[in-house]
Amino acid sequence: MIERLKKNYYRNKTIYFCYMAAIVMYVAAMIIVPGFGVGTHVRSLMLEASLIGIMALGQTFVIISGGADLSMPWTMTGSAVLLTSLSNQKDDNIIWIILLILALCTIVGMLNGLGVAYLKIPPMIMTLGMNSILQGALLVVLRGSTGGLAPQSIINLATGSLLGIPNLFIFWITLGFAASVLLHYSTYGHKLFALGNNEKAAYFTGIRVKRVKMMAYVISSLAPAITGILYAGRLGQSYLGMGDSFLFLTIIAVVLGGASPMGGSGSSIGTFAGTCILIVLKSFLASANLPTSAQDILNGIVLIVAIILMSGKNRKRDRL
Amino acid sequence: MKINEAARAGKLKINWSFAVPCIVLAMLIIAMGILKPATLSLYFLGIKCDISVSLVFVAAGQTLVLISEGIDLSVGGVMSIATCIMATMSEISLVGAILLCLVIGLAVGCINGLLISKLKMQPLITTLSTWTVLGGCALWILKTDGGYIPPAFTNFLIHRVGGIPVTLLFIIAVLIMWFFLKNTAFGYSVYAIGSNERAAYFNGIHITKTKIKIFCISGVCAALGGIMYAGINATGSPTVGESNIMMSIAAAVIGGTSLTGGRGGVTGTVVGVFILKLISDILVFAGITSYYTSLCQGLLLIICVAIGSVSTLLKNRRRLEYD
Repeated sequence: MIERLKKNYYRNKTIYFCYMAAIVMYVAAMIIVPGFGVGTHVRSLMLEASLIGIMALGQTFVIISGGADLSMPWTMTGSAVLLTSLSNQKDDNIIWIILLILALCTIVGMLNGLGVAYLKIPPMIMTLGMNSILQGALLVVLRGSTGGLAPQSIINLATGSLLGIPNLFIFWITLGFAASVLLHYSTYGHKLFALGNNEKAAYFTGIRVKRVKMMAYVISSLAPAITGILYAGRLGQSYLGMGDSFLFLTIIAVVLGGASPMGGSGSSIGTFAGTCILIVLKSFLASANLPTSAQDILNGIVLIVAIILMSGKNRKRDRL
Repeated sequence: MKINEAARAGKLKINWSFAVPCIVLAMLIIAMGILKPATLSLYFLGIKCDISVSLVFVAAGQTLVLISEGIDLSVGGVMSIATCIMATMSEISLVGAILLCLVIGLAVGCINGLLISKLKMQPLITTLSTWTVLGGCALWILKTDGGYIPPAFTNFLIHRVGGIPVTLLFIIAVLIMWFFLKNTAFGYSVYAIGSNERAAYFNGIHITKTKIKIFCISGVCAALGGIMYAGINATGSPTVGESNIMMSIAAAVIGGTSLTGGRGGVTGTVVGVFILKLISDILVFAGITSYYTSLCQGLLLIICVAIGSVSTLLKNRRRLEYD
């Protein structure tokens, strides 16, 4: 029993470390800033973490495959803007609109996957290009105007709560659980990890490498689709550029959670912890009444230190 | 005919990843000439050079990093901070402000290089964090766009020496520097590290030293880009770097530099910069709304890279299906 626990500990050392860091930071913030993390503040922390968290879950799949998805910001903006402009504040066809959004985002993910897996375009370039194509397409379609207001049913869904827990948070936990099962207890997950660790070896074991890789991009573009719908509901409206701040945030959350940007490692539980660290840190710096510049500087320094500590394990392995 | 036969015999190999951007640029220039003949003049070239020169500097440094299989996102931060320093301090001493910018670029590059080579951190994540810190510093120096740049400096940069713009001379200087650098021992080791770091190490290349040098050059180039931006636009901006990060990577990649390292060059990058800057003009001259700009830039980025990667796929199709 103790042997097993020990083994488990060594395997998931980074994740435990990540949770510890999040808790320490939370307690420190509670002591330094009175009223931090109490009552309604917890709720706002949860809401903010959920939106980044859902996107980071999608990002986890792509990072495990050894790539990165930079097309998330405008996929998310597109989803939110489509929702508000198509529904026009009416709840009549909301199911069809959501299905249409999910289908369109699946196509975006498939195009990303086709480029990366079949045409061998570097993932960063493919998704970056896709990001600016989506941005241009949205500007052309909307003629630069903002999207409009969200329908009431989506607003209720995004701002409501069940037994005191915000709906957004429940969404995040449910999706995180689903992602966890898909990653660690399904054939697809095992194939994805094999592919991320050594693509050539995975090919020779008989894994359809290209198909598995393409699926990872499809999953990672469904995440911003869901986030976009929920974000539009939470704000009650949509605007162009609403996703721009998420560009690298999701990648940082995944990497803080113990995934290697080279692929082959990572988990949804780790990503969960990484998201918590990011949000607690951001909220702490914002509530400490520091100017924006000082917040950015401290944020960056803490990130560097955290990543130096996290990458201690990989360092030994990678030494020439 | 001779060239065709040689190509068929496999003696003359066309470097498609460099040829494609050159063809695209030539097509853009011809299309512009047809739509608006006035653009085929030294005057228009001067304006384009003035607009492009800062991105040329940033992208040249970025290219070097990309060749060594790294990526440098902190160029945006260095560029922002350089424009802010120029805008606030050049009133006191222009030379002092320029030197301070260069020293900061060098220091940031040094820190990036140390973290990446000594602590084996991932370049993407490391430079992303340093970018955050630098962006904060830039906001701390200058809250909003503005500041004061000595008019003499601006006039020097937009000056025409016998009709030839000074900025064009700067761009040519970058290219000459690159030709010298490429053929030094340092230049060869950059390519060696990019194509196979382990093999480079066993051949006696000092990986740590070379990587620190690469990031230092990238930092200094980004600082120069910021100085140029501040000089030509006569203003400082704490957020200018953000858009230039992705543009610098896109320019390098369109110009044939591979993200997987070991291939590419600054010559292609300069072509890439001009392609990116010309697209928005050609849309205006063709009477299309500027909303299409980012759509076209994204499409062009993917198409340029796809042509390169598909040509290698076709070349290798007789090998294993995997490769």
